[in-house]
Amino acid sequence: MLQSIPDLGTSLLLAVLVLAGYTFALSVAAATGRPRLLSAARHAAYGTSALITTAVLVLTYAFVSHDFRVSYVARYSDRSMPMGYLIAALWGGQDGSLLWWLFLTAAFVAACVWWMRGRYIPLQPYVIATLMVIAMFFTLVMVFGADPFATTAFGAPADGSGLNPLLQSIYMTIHPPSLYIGFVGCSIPFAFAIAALITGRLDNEWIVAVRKWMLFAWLFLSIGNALGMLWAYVELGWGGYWAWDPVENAAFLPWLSATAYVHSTMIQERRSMVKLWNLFLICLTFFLTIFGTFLTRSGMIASVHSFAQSEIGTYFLWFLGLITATCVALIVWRAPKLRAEANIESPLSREAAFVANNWALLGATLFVTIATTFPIISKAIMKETVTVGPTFYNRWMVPIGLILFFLMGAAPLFGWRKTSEKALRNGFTIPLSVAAIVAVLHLALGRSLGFPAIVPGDPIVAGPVGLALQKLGAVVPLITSTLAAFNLAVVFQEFWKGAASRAKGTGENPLAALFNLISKARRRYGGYIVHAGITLMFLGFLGQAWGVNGEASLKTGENYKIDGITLRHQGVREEVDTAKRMTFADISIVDRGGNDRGLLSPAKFSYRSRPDQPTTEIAVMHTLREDVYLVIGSADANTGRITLQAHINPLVSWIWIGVLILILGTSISLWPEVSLAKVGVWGYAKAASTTIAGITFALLLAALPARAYAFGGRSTFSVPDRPASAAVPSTPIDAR
Amino acid sequence: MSKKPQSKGTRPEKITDKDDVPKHVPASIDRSDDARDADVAALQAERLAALMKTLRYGFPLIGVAVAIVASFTHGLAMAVLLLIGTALLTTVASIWTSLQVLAGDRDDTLDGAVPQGVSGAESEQKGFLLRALKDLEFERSLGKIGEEDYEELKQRYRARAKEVLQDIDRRNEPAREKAEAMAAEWLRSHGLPTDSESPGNAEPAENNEPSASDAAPVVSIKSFRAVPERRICAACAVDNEPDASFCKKCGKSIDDDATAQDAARSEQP
Repeated sequence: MLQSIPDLGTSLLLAVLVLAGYTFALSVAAATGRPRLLSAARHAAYGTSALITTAVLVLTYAFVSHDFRVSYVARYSDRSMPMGYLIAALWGGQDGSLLWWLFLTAAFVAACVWWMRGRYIPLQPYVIATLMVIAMFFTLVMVFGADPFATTAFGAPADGSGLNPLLQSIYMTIHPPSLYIGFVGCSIPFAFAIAALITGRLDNEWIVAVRKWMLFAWLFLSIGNALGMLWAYVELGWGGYWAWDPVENAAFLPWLSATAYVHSTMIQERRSMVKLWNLFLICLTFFLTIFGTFLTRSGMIASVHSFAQSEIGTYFLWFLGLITATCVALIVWRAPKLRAEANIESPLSREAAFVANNWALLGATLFVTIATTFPIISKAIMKETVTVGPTFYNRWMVPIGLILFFLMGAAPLFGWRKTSEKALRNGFTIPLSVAAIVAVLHLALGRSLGFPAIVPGDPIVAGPVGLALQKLGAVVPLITSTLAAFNLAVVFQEFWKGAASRAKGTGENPLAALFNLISKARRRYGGYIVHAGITLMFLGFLGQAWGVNGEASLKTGENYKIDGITLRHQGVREEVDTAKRMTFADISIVDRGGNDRGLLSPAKFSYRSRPDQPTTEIAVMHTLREDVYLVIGSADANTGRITLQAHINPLVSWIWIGVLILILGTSISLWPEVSLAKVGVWGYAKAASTTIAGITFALLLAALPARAYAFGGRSTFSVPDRPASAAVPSTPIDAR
Repeated sequence: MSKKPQSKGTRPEKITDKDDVPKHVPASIDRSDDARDADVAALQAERLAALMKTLRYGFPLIGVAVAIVASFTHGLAMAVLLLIGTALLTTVASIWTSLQVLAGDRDDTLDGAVPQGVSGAESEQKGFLLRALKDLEFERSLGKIGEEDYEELKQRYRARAKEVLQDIDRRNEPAREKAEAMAAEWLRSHGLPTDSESPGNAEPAENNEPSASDAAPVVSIKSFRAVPERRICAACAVDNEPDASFCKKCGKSIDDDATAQDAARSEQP
């Protein structure tokens, strides 16, 4: 063990501050048009990235060598933790996760500087300078507010406290990095936007430059959010996957604005419109990545995932002020150059559909932001903290979601500028017919199949608005299934027409035409595949409408019937290993047809290191139709009595399938369109990384049912003990 | 690390060997030893720069590879220490290079910060515009865009593409001239005539004595430069780009015309 790890680490952070400052100064000086300074700044940027990497590696070394003199290491690891979790503990707490954020920023800086060689010369100085300001900010926060190398106050303990059992999960190793890559990835488009604003080069140059960077960040935001849902679903044990928790919202907000940008950028490319809007969206997306971090790290809003309350919220507030002031000042300054060169000529045009889609996405962003910060707002205005619950979110987000869902399907059917009556007829006839048929079938057969088209609900607010929302909520299943059919029909039609047109023009066979169609227009058809994935995710979300929850106290041999499925309590058994004592309840599942579907074994674990925090293990059986999700509140090995909570969650698997298709579509869009010699290694690296991310996600999903059936058909995931009816655990979890 | 000429005594074995010079080249056009040494020095400096560049990218990779091996043989802690060493050395090397560039001791174009020839951005813009044109054609074929809109958008894209291509040509010009000069130098060093020395350009000989250059194969720089022919549409006689397959005015296939013209030519006695 090195003798001066804490000092070395802190010194490295100070050195990063100095070196980033040097790089910033060189970049700003290079903006006067001196290539020598620019070249020096580029080398210095590489140096800064390498130095940040050194600091991260020093903290890694402290973890793997169990250097408990470092307070952060003592708080988030112990000697018994396997190596994988020791590495994951790097981002398990606040200080380390800031360093991890800085490290990812460094990786993006190095990649971006390397990618920019020989191109975007006028923009380069400002891009590098902006990225250095971001790096300096995070370094400053660590040096003065959350030093991950700070030493333990009363000397090094013999062993550390260990990572929270909830975080000792495979998802801990992949979910935060994915989300952080998405967050940090937004820095590059932001840096280009600032550079474009300062230099006044506001045409398509920067739009083309950031297109794939933004798509890359968007993909990882999507993957990060999906993994967060999956983690919550299998870990938290409340039967759902999204509870509109502030931290979930913090990750969702930049995804919304990034999605808006991914669409509106096409308007600028095609029609030279919405230039100001695009800059605004890029700035907003970056702002939201920092804002979300501020929310979860300032301690101002209580959350399942909140970090401990600390002083660093003030730093983030100042930084948010700096971002806002800079963006507003630059946009106002450049406003005359940001005038659109064309106008929307018809509401029946693709640009009009995209603008509507943007407004809906921005509306959703605004709503979620206000609802998330409502505890702060209400405290400031009403002197009373009012928290907004998931039901409120769901009711208000449903109309916005349905508008977006419709626009997603309709937009590709419109042409640019305006759409002729004939083109409208050609485009809409088949999808609308399919949607109408599905709507009728759903109304006719839905109830008998267990998926009724109309599901009445309770009003959440009084008055006409509450009544309208209640009525809308009742028909949401019908509208969603109809729009899903419409969307899938549009995607199918676009592929069909495109392949047919190509086959006719080139004489290729249909399969070759389809393949070449996608490979020649990857962005367009990758986008359609993403739409198909999102459609399946919407179907998965719709499953909530038909979900059934139940609770029972059972003795050995007793049955509990829920939604036609029989759960037979086979008995309680106890097992012990070196780390914990495990109490399982074996429940056999008999489906609606009377067929035995296997055994699920939810459990309670009591860890020796944390005997006061017994954990609850959920058990899930996944099928395409529904998930059978079991949790035990208590289990007595002597009497054989258990209290069982059962959730029948229809269509949940379609969410994960939809995410996989979304990853596939984005990967196709990201895949370089030209040869390696032209696009460079980075283009292929980006494409390869998305593929790897997709494969990882696919393997995780594939592992789920496998785990469910392992050891006699059960999946087990550890969760700290808490009342099963509560949506959140009683203790905060230091994650994200 | 600046590129400085090497001393005369460092002549490599395999560079510009006299044996490579055609036997028919007279001694008068052979180059002097000084010039040859300068070439050798320049080549060595280039090789050194290439080696340094390889090391710059290769060293971190080697460090990572060694660390991976060490993680199996000496444990993860040792591997992380090796990575720390690699990252620190990379930091020092990068800062050192930055300071050298700043002090003017190093060629600042080595890093590629200053573009040589066409910049990636222009190339990207060109690619984007060409893809947009293709996309437009595709939307037209699907009936999603009216003729009037199609024409307007097409004209806009074409105008922008023209500007970008002209920019690329302008930017390429110095590089092209440099390449031609290098090619001419190479031809001269191998005793081959250049454009200016080719028989077509040469002054008429005062006597009819055969010269060495008469015997040498004439390799013109311009002969390396493919000058594609413009394609004239047989139907409307419009002048199209050399790579056009269809006429930009009437839309008829030029390939068919060309095939027919070739066939007609081949049938002529």
